[in-house]
Amino acid sequence: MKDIYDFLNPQEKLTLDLRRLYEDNGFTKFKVAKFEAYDFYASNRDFLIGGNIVPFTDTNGRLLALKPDVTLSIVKNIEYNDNTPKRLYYTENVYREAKDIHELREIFQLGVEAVGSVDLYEASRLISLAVKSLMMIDESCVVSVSHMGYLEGLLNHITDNKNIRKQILGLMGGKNVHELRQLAIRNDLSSQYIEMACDLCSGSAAGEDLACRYILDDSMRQAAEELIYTCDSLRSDGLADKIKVDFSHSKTPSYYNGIIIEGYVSGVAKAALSGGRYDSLLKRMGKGNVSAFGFALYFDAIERKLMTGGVSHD
Amino acid sequence: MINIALPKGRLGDKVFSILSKAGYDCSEMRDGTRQLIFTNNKSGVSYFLVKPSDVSIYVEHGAADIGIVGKDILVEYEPDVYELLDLNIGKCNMCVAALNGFEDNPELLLRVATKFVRTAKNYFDSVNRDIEIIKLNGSIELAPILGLSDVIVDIVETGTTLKENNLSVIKEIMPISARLIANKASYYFKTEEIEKIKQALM
Repeated sequence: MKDIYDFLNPQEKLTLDLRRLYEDNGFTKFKVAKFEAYDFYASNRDFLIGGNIVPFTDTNGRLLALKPDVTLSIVKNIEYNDNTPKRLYYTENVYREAKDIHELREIFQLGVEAVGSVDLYEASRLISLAVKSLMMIDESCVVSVSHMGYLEGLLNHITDNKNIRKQILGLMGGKNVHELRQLAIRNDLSSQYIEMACDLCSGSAAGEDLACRYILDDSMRQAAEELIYTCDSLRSDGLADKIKVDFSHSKTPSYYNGIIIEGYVSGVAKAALSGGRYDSLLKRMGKGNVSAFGFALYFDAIERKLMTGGVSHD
Repeated sequence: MINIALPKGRLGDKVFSILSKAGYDCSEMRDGTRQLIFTNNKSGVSYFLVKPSDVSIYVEHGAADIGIVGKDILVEYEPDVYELLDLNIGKCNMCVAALNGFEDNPELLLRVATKFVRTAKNYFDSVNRDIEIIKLNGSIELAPILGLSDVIVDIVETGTTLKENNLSVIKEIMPISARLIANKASYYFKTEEIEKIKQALM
């Protein structure tokens, strides 16, 4: 007689296996509401992938939105304290605009969050879980690790101008060193620090070594130490070859303040996983000095690989 | 195996020539066939010949690991790729051009004919000029001649086409050249091979 597991399609099997992984590691399932007030998402638009929100009016005339994100709802709705982090995972559909055809798409997303008092050890456990999640899809995977505190520290030595800082992060994000240098000339920026930015984003050396080479102040030192701790922790889990420190990777500084991650799986054209420390988001939402770390796995990125067992070209 | 998307035409030929001399040859590409994919297992490369404006799509979606594409395409479509190198070839300029003697009347909505809608809009936003965009797919120079538009935003190389049609450049928006781009996921899994090709093109 067939086991019920045998009737599941690859996506369903993966979901079940991941749920087992997370529950074995002390995470409990969290169910969020399907709709939230439109204003709730609109006031945190920069946190959302794509930035588009799908509004509708309910029968009571309230303006609501189909949820484009789950983290915001979790942060808003759960009770937590400073002592023990709440460890949660979710399996939810989110609604986003498909980039090129401007049509609404329902995307299945599985995510893991630790909210409350998330120290470096807790964060490194989550990164380890992120790696293991990707390894369930394909052993050939990599999680790129960066640090917003480190990048902001470097930017503080280059310029206060918000627009130029955004351009620098954008060019680093494209590993676009030639245009970084042109930006520096046009805006009379320090060539010394711009060359650091070029070196950090072009991945010419091991990321942790680079981070230690360019310590300009205490905030960057602390960030470098956090990266080293994280990499050492993952090495002790036997996951050293799955991690790459890469400062080309950044996220919105007003939400993410520490280590950030992005995960890739062989045969899948875009990032299958994304996350990081988002204490700044909680501060913006008036949650005080609570800390949080989480990541989400995007099933739209991996569905073709799962269903066909082959290469996904988006 | 590294999958390389090359633009059909002079630029693709030129880049292939450079890579060929650097050890990434594929003799089939010189046979003049109508094949679109050429593979050399020994050197570990596979070339695809694609429409220039499609190179970034193939790379962004992972069908090609790397590609050669003009900066005009990257600015217009903003694909989520790594831009690893400016090859400093295929140089030209993105310009605003108009009929000789054109004088802009700021009280009128400026009609702009172009293939590069986003580029045009961003430029005119930066100078606070209200415009109407007329999207065309080719022979953009005809538009002001036939009264379809006041100006055009288009790539200018030597300027000969403009000159022969009584048009001239009234503003250079940005310089354009060929760039090496890479799919972000491919870069993580094929870093060494991609960096070697980048070095060969430097």
